[in-house]
Amino acid sequence: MTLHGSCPVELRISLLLDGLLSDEETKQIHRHFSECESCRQKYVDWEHIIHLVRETCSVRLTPVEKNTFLHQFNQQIVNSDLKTPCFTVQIARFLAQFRPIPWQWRAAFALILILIFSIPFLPNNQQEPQELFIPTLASDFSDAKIRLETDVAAEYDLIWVVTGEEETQKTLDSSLGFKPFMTI
Amino acid sequence: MKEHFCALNENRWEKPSADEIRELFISIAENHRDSLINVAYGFLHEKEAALDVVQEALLKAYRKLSTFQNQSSLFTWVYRITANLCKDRLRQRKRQKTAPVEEMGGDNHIFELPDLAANPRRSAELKERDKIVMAAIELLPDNHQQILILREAGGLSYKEIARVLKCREGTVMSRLFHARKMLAARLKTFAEDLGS
Repeated sequence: MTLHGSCPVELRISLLLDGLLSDEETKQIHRHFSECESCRQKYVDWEHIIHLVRETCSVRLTPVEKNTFLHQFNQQIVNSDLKTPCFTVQIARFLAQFRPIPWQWRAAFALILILIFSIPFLPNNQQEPQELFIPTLASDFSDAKIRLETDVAAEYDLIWVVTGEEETQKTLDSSLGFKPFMTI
Repeated sequence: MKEHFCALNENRWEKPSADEIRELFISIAENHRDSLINVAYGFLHEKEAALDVVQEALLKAYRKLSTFQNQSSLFTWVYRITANLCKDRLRQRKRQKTAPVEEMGGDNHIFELPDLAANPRRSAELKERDKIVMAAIELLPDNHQQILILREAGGLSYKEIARVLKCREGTVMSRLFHARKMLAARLKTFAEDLGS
């Protein structure tokens, strides 16, 4: 572990002072101190400096001061109102619930949701069948016959000959060889 | 020690009542007052100002709890507010160019305790030493200074400091290391100057 060209042992001294080294690493560094006077001195100096900073920055309050501090704070919060969270904060709080979930899982979940919601909008390869409707009168179906002969029947997938009566259906069937698909 | 600060986070689906929130903040004030005051004192070097800032930070956190987004724990949030308020005060002080109370002769912290007051010479020596240490801390770059104060004065762990300053634990480790190294060099220079 080297930081900006510093000696790795120096960094370990800092970690040792914070109690962040394992037992094995601690033993190793103490062995190093027995061999290296410079590092041992650094350890002693830094330990002293940490102690100095802690002493210099520590404020000792008298019991009266402690009570006054708490009393004042208690009075202040009793007299002040809590603001209700705005909508955006509520949304942000809700989203924050999902932070512990790894981003990969969240991304996969989002992708699945996108796919599900995009299914109706996907391009449809199955084309609608081309249909031809030929309305015909019950008495006269010659019109339908003509159209069936003239129209390019091959262009259509379904041909609907729409008739009105059952009798016509039978006639149509015998004369054109078509079974009517739809009756009105 | 600091588990109760996460109470709001853990029970985030249940909306705490106003009384519960009040109790939570009073417990914060009770249990972490000393640590917060030490951090503020580390920045401001003035006891009254440190007490004011901590009161203000706790009250600000309480009032603006609605803006707390559960992205960090409530505990680290209060520390962040305290550190920011301290920086604001320091900026104001720089603009006004007024000396802190200690420099004007008032001293309220540890070295003014009765046992030390009984020995005026010793007290004066310690006062002088404090000034030197504070001056050396002030000379550190802001980022390093913050981390050093949060670690040594506040007693926060690397992880907590990383949350307060919104940076990585590795960054905290590296900056703390460099802060200690720089401080050692500065104090050595001061000691040499005094010696000469």
